[in-house]
Amino acid sequence: MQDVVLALLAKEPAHGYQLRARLQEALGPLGDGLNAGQVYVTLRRLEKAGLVSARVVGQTDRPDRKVYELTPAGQERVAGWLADVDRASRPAPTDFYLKLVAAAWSGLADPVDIVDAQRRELLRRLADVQRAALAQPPGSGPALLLEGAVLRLQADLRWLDSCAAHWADREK
Amino acid sequence: MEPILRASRLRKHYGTGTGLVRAVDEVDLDVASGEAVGIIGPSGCGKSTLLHLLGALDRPDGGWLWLGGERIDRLSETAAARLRRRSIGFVFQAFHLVDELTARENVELPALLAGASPRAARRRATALLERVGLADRAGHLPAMLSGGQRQRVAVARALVNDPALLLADEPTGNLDTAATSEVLRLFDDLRAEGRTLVIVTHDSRIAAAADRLITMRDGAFVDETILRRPSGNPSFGYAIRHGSTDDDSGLGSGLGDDFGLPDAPGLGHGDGSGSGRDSGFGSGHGFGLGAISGLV
Repeated sequence: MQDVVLALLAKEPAHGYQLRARLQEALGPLGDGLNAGQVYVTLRRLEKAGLVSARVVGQTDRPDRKVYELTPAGQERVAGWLADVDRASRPAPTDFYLKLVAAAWSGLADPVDIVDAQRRELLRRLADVQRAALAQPPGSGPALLLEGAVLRLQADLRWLDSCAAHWADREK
Repeated sequence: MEPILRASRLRKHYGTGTGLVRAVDEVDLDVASGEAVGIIGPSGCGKSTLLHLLGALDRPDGGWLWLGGERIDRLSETAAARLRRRSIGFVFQAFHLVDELTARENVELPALLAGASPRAARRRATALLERVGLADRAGHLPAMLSGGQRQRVAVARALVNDPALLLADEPTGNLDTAATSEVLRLFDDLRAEGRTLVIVTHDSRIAAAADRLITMRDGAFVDETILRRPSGNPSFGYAIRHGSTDDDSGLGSGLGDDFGLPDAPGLGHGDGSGSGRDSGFGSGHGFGLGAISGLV
């Protein structure tokens, strides 16, 4: 969440309200559970950590509100996050998707490049697991267990292809 | 080392004007002897067209193509047919077996066409059917075989003239999970034996059996993943010719000198830079039970 919020601020400073709206737009029904409080808590934590700075903008007919922007440290962290390939055993789809959204929105990285890097990682893993599976006698229990891992990786790879197609189309 | 197969600025376009499709657009490819290369990408990315060009089934509009040092991009129909019989084995998604012939006769056929004596053709077909685990199905017609078995017959047929290059176009495209495993096992054996393979596929399982994977998009190579050192080439040095192909993750995809990996299964790959990474099963790690258990 922290990284996503930071990346969404990379393009331009924003109010908490705008960030929440942007996240909800990206997440669709999955964003229904996202309350305003979560975004503001995240922003306060980021401010405390020196990754964003806030300035108060006065409004005539409404209460004043805070506009957040990235500090140099925050910019560095966003760049690192976008370049980092997720090496968790199974990357969470929502996190990965939000990274692509944030990359496209901020213009700091090409989502298709991020997909390609993640694909390389998953293909290497698939090759490893498959090698382990092939070393087992066909029809054995361990072969069956490893087949489960193979099929899940395959599903993840197929979804990456969909992600690449989605953002490649937008770039055209 | 001189590659067995080399394509340089290979090009094939269809249509004209706004309907122009750059099916293969200035592709450079070197395949070393004994290397297994997978080409992956969305449907319509040009990978099948590329395979047809590599196998002299179709002529490029431009560029150069060499097989075993011989130019093959401007061959006559007759010369191309002779080259295919002699030097190239093909495996297709739809098997393309002759329905009226038994498994053994299907395998014999290209040997006979290439001028082998019936006795020699029979001997080779029998040995190859045994090789693909179908000795007991030699007398069966294709209709009596499962999909996985048919594809294994097709692989035996592709090997009967001992081709320098084996090309496969979606070899598991018509197969279910179990049959895919059969064919996968066979391709993995062929790779381990040092056969030179080029496999075009959108099935990541068969792709992961390759030594090197190339991602194709809109007729061009856009990414490359090194999965292992080719079995046929202990001293093979990688020369990546495409600008965007290297992996900046530092995980040992790529350039020759960080490629000290042994080929033995169970040792993983990479340059050791991955040690101490998170609990997952990063490519730089050794390969152990802990690594797998994160996935199952």
